[in-house]
Amino acid sequence: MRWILAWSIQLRLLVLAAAAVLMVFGLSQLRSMPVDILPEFSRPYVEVQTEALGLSANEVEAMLTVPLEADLLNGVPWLNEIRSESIPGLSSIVLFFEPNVDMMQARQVVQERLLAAHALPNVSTPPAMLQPVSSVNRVLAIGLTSDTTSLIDMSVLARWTIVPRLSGVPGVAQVSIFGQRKRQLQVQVDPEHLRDEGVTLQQIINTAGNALWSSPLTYLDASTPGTGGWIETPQQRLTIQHLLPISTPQDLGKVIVEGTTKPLSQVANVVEDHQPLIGDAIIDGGPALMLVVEKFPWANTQDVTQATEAAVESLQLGLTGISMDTSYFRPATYLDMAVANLASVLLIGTALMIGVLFLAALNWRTALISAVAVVVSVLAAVTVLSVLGITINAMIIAGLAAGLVVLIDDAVGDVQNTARRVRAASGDDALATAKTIFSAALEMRRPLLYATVIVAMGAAPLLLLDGLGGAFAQPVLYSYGLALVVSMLVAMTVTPALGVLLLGDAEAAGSESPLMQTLAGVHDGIYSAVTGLSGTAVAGVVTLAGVLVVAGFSGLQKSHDVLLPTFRERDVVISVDAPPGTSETVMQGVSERMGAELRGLPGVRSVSAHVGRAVMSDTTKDIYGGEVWVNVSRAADYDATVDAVRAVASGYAGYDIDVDTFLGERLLDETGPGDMVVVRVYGENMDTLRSKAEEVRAVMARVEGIEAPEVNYPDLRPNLEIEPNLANSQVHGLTPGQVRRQAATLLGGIAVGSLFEERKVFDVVVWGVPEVRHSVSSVENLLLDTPAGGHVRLKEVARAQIKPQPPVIRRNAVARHLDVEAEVAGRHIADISAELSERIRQGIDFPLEHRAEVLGAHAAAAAAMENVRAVAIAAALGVLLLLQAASGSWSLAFFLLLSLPVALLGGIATGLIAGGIGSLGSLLGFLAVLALTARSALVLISSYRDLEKDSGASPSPELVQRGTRERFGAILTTAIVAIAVFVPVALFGNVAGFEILHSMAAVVIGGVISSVIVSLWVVPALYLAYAGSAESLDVIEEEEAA
Amino acid sequence: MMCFNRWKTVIAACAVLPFLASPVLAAGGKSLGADSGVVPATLQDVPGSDLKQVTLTARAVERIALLTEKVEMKMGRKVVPYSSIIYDPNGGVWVYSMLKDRVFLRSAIDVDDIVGDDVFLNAGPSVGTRVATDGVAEIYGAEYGM
Repeated sequence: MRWILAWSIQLRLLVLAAAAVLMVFGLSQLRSMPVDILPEFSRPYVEVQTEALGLSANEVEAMLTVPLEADLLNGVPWLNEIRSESIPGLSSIVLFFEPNVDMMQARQVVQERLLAAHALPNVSTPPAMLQPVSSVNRVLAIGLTSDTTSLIDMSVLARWTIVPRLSGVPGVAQVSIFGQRKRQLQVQVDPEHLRDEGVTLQQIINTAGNALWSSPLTYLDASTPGTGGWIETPQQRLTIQHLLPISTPQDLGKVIVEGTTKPLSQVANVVEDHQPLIGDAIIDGGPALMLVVEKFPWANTQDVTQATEAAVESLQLGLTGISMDTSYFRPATYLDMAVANLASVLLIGTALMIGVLFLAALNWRTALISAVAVVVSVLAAVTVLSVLGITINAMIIAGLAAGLVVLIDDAVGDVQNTARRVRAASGDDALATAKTIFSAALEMRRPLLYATVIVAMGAAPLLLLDGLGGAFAQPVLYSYGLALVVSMLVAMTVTPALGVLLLGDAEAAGSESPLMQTLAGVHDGIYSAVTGLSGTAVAGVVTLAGVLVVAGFSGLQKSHDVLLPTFRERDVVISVDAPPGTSETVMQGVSERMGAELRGLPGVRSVSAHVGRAVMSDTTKDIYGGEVWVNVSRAADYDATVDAVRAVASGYAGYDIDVDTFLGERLLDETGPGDMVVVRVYGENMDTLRSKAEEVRAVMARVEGIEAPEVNYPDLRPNLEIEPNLANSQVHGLTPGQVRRQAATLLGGIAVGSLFEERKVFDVVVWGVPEVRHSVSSVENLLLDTPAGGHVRLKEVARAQIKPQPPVIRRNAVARHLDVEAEVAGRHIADISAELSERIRQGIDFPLEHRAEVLGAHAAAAAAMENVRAVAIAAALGVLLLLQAASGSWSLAFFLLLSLPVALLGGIATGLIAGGIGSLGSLLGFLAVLALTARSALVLISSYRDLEKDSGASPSPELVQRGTRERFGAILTTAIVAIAVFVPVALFGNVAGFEILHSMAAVVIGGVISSVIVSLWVVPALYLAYAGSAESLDVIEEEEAA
Repeated sequence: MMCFNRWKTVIAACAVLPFLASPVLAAGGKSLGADSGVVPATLQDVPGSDLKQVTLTARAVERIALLTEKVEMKMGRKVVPYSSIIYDPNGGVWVYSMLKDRVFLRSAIDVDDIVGDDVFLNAGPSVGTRVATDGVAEIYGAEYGM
């Protein structure tokens, strides 16, 4: 330390030049630094999706999910949990990995396994691994509407032109198309008409498939298209290409049905249409397309948004008639607002800081040095973050803001001390002044070093938090630590260098401002009254207050939801869930009507909706679930608008409605259930699962501490099951497979080939006319071909019955499960879990392939909190030891430790007035005030001891008063500057970007005041009472003095 | 001494304040998940069955775009529109009969055949009863407590 100080003074011009460069660099970085709202908070995962349009949930599970899970994906290394959902048409398997696993390695291992997936039945597209996406994945939603272009044509443009272009934008992970209507040539058959024409379904399939260049049906000739070959003349090689004359339905209709002389158009309807929809987008009262753009975890929202919008603009030029609107969902707008607010407050705060510094000291030199020190520290921190490539987010800003108090204290305290010493030395010799400045800086450093270590120790337990709390606590604490370190370095280099340059003599150092002198007079008056109190009385009151404050804090709910603020984003999402099995028509209708009503609300800028899902998208909802996205305008009254939105949405009867912000929804996905204990019963047979779950529920009801256990039965949807009757089918010469394939073709459609046109690929599909898919009756009356050439109705060879089925089949750990959930009260969750496991093991018998498990997530979280508490106690002891080393007395150290929480009283008061003290911002504010108090206390004690050493006397009221008086100016100035800097933040209120900062500001403003009271009156009183017995075992100090 | 006592009380009072106030902690600001207090449909148990009578508010009726039509007679059989029927997961088929303005009760029907938009019934509500033909899924959802 001496070395750094000495060289900084020696090379002061170099140091200042470096500081200037740093300032310029930092300022330039400030404009262009990547900014985002939150750091990444989800655990590493990989999602594998397999599409199988038209396949029911049960069959998706049996044919796709189970083989993938069991054979391929279970046993992947570093796997923590494997979960899957099977819904009609989609199998989604999510693999969660252990924390800190390298995502790329995990993806590679999964990809290797997927290569073996050719063994799956030919009902689906191959399994695909979704791109890695950020926790806050959606960046933009682009609505495509047109008065002139059909939805099918727009889908073609989207699929083949727009999405490939957007996917190439740096940072874009995937773009999904909601409402995509794939252009298909459909050969729609009416079995009755086929019978009249004497044609069978198989003839139609063969004809349509073989007419084309390629077919996926392996039994058709068209599955082997053959190549073109070439003609080799003696001089030239002419390559041969075959052109397909079929591109429109009319063309296909002219093809003659094999075995007859009739064209296809005579026996079937050949039309251009689209596939059955798994989802749709509704904009401005009608169906439309919506492109949802998602970003990679390492990408930056604002950059990706701007680049994507630029791409959209360039595309728009070529796509006349189609309007592409990027304003329906744009989180970057919130970021812009937040950054603008922060920039304003930064400017105002800096101006106020300089003004207050000057007014407090009435000496432009000291004001300048302090201001420069603060600004250089902040910019140095920014530079470090920029060089490390770290994206600034709300957590980092919060940490830096908390560190600002320390930055100010360092800057002001050092300069005031230096000025005072120079004044006292009153010499003109430059060298002597330099030495004075050197020793002034040095005498501040040691107590402050102690203080820094104390604060670091105090904050350390929070680093042990895991899960969501940990993901957020770490950036905060690291940036706070960065601020502390930077502040220390600047105080050791820039401040002394500037001091030597500007405070060259006593005249330059000026004298204390009249303001300070008046206030000091006031302080002296009260001080004598306070020191009149008996030391033990003060100590007693301090103990009581300190214990109460600590007790009050440990009563705080330390749950994640309380801790995290609600970000005032402009994008509100209403999830609208209908009873399982509800139709697309109903969902479209409610989206249109709700959208129209919401659009009429003042403050609502735009409304868009999507129902169901899209291929390779971030939702796995079936068609009966939808989301309505409301964009709140920047100028609107945020709270009133959101309340109005919620009131409107809740008025829609029959739907499960939930209103949240986009970030809130994503955070909810990560946090688990609240204080609940969950027993998961695994097994494959639903009836056995049900009865075992009931048994578990009965056992849970008998365990003390568990309240109202309930089995979480999945909702059921009606499912039409078609089961061929072996005997009856045999009578007609049909096998069950033949019944299935004919019914599947007529009801679900079968892709018979592909059309290649202008480098795009379209499907040719054989399907039944809409009338045969109209109702249960039409299905029962479906006319099937028999091998003998006759016909039979479906109901004669099969039974069509409606049976219940879970709409989503969820599997975990490669098994179906039912959860039995209960709330916990009055007892430790770890004890409850242990007793419950024991009772289940002894009291319930499980058949083969069935078992139950008490979910450990809560026990793990509780254990983590235990760890944090234990380390917190250890940290408190460490702080006590440090205080003892710094002050030389055990009792003094003990009471000092207790007085630290007392300094928070002011912060508690102002925090409560501002709305509460349980949030992350308030806790950070308390941390900042604690740091400030610790620093002031240690500096005061150090100065008392220096005075004692100098005068050779033992602690006395006069000495202590002198010591306090010396520090008075610095302590008070720091307080006033800190308040001045945070007042604008508090006045801005809870606006975009200030969700954490405004509660921090409230706490800091009040806390700084009570911290000053503690420093100026309580600490001296305690010192007088308890330091008398101090044995100065200070070896280091002796050496320095020598 | 008086000065001292006053100081002690003041400090002690300040110390007690946060402890009393700590139960009053709030994170500040209403969470977005809070209830809005709007109830668009109320249920009433029907004694002797699992059914629940659903009463909709006037505003709710507008929002679900409710439409109703009468049960008719066609070719000697009762007929209801296709959009009025709803299947429960076990295969039972129902319509929602309007008991009085905005009040509905689920009624069982036995379907004989479905031809186009007509559902021919073997059994069902009496001819002339109004049944919901639009908003049926919503009334169903309301009955199941969504």
